Amino acid sequence: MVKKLLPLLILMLCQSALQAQPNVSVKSSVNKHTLYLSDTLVHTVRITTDSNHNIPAPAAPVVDGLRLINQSSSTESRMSIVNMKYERSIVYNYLFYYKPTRTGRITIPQTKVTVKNTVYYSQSITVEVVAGGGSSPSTDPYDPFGMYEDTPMPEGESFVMPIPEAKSVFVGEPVIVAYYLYTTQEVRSLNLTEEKDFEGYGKSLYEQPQNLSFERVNYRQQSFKRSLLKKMVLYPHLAKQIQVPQLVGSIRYLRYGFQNRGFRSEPAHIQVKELPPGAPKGYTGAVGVFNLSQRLSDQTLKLGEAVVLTIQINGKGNFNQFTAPKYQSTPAFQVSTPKIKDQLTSGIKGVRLLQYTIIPKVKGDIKLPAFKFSWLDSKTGKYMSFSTKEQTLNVKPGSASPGSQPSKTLKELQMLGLSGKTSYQNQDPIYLSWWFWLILALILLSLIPSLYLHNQRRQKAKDPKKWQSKQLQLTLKQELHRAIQAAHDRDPEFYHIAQSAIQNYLNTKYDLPAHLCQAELMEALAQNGVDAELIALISSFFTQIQAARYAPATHEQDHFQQLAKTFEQIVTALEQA
Amino acid sequence: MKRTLFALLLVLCMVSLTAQNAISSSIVDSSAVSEDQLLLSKLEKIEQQGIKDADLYYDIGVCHHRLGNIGYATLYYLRALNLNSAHQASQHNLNVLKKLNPEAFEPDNLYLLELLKRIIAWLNYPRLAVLILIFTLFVVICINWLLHLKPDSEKGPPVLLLSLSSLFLLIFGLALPLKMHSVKNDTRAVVVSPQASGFIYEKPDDSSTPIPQASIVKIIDQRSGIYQVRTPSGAIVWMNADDLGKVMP
Repeated sequence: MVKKLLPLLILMLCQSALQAQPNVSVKSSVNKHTLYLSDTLVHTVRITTDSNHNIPAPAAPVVDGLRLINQSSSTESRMSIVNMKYERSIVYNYLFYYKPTRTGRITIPQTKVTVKNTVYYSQSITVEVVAGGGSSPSTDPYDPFGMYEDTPMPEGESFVMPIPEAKSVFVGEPVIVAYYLYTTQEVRSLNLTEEKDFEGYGKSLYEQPQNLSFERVNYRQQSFKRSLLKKMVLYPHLAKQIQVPQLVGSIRYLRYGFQNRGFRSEPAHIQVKELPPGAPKGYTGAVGVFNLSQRLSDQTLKLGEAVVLTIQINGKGNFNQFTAPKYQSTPAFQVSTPKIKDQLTSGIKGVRLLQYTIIPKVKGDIKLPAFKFSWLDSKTGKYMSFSTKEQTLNVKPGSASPGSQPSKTLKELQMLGLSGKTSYQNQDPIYLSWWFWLILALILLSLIPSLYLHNQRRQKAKDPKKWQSKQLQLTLKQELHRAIQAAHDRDPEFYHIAQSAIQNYLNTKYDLPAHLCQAELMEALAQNGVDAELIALISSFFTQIQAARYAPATHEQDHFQQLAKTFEQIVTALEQA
Repeated sequence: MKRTLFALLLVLCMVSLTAQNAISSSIVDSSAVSEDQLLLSKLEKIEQQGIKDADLYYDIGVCHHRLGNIGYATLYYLRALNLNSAHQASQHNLNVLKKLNPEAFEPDNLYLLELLKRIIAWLNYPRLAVLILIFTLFVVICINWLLHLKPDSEKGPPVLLLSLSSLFLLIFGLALPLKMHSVKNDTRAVVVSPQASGFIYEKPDDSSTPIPQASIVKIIDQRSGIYQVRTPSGAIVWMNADDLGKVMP
């Protein structure tokens, strides 16, 4: 079975794998394998596919000894129907025009094309450049008259630079890294294809503009246009030097025509420091620059009412990584789980409100202990603490009885803890268990005997005579079986069983007295309209039985069988009567 | 031969999977390791083994609740309640979250509707199953009583009891499959991201509105990577799938 199924499964998987992969081929060629320094080399990358996949334009190969002067592209689409089979192919041609800058053997590397996560490569090509110039300069398609050959325009420069907000941070302290594109070229668009991550941090997106928006800046004593590509927040969790994520992609810029160029962002590092020792008690991991303030909703209240202590944390830091400190209940009041309200940008800048509901349990003056919140100030590298002033609540007698409404309110606001379970198991629904269905079946099956009994009673009540007759016939049949068994065993009990069975049947059916002798019985039967032949048979049977009873010599097998046969005949006749 | 076939099968599976898979997320977990986080990772490992236990989901929810991830806490409390609708601790903690973040939850219904919802929640699978057994037994006893009643006896009491028992049996008998169906087709999802937003069209635009964390939304439609949902306020918006956690994964 397995042997049969496996090849089938493999075939199906092969098919699915083949269907998932587009049919793509990538080939490259050059117009000349040997060329002079003055010649133009045209490197063509030809991508053929059978369907409309989104194929990104390959970046122009960077070749030592060749200078890219232009690039162009074209697309061909072909359809054909051969033998009722529809075939389609789309060909993308990418032409890269190079000028040699040195003599010797030069290898153009493989061109990489990624389609649906699969990478395809063209073959590498080696050309030989020799000194001199045999060809006419007009081989350059964009400069047929050689007007610009001697004074090529500078290609310009483009690069992506990550700029971390801080060079040194503490573990857990969020740091924003901005990625800028610096360029001197006419960049028209930029495509980010990959984000390479390194060890030691978590990250989230902070800002990503939809369009390139350039500003003029000076960098390395040179004027550049700069555009923000992306801002991300890094959350370092390892105390070491970490490298920020590297962006990979391609830029499309205009020079004669549109050209593509791949890029990788420059490396940038951030030094991550361990948290300094001496963290205060109750420190919950907050790192950043914070300002805190507190507010108590009311200082005078009635028993049964509640006040809210609000702590406002304002600033910049790892809001996503610290929790609200506990404000301990005392015998005089109870405190709810804090309600946290955030108004944050990307989880690092803004305001957090911690609201503790305080419910007094007793009347009188209640002193609220100081609330303490500690954090590591990332500017100074020192632990800071915020402590509220000790405040007094004036609790007046209220209409609610002490301990009732406040504790109810508190209970409603206090989250419950863990279940305390140490092992977990699948909880199959009870209706899937066998015992549920067994009990249900037993309950329903118990109706069957009850219905049977009910039916019996109903029949008896409906036609008592018929029911009695049926019962008599049943008894007679049972007696017949007993008698046959006794006859088979040559048991003298046979005579008694047979005679009693017939007599009882006749007495009950025809309502005859039990003390009648044989002759009187026959007469009574005749009066009740019983067939004379049957009366004769019964009479004869009784005579034979009486004879046999008092003549033991006749206890032979044949004799018993004969009598049993006669008894059976009488029973059949009585049933039909 | 068999081994070779199996190896081939495995290789093909991998090829097939890599051909279909999208690029996985490169975000690294950066949270500080605390006691609750250690417990959470342990519980999540148990969950990954495929164990479906209401207490397990509840404990995961409590860990998230303590860590301040109220979106995930809500999600796991709801998962626990899907397995055992009478899980009181989950219901209580969900109510706490509701009281502390009212903007993320639907406003309370009318009293009678709330009462009905509570009754339905109390009737979890084991209770429904036991009630079905009890009322089946009552029905059978009443039928027996009626069958064997003397002809001249008063039939009112057994008929009344039989009617009531049958009615309850019908209610509970229908409630069980209906409950199973509603749990299986639960379209609710919870906003797990603190910075989630909903947008009118299928792509983010300037008109995006923030959706509070822990909001329970209903999925109406889904496309690759985005869901069309109905928010607690009744608005129909599109949301990134990454911002949501489905109650019935």
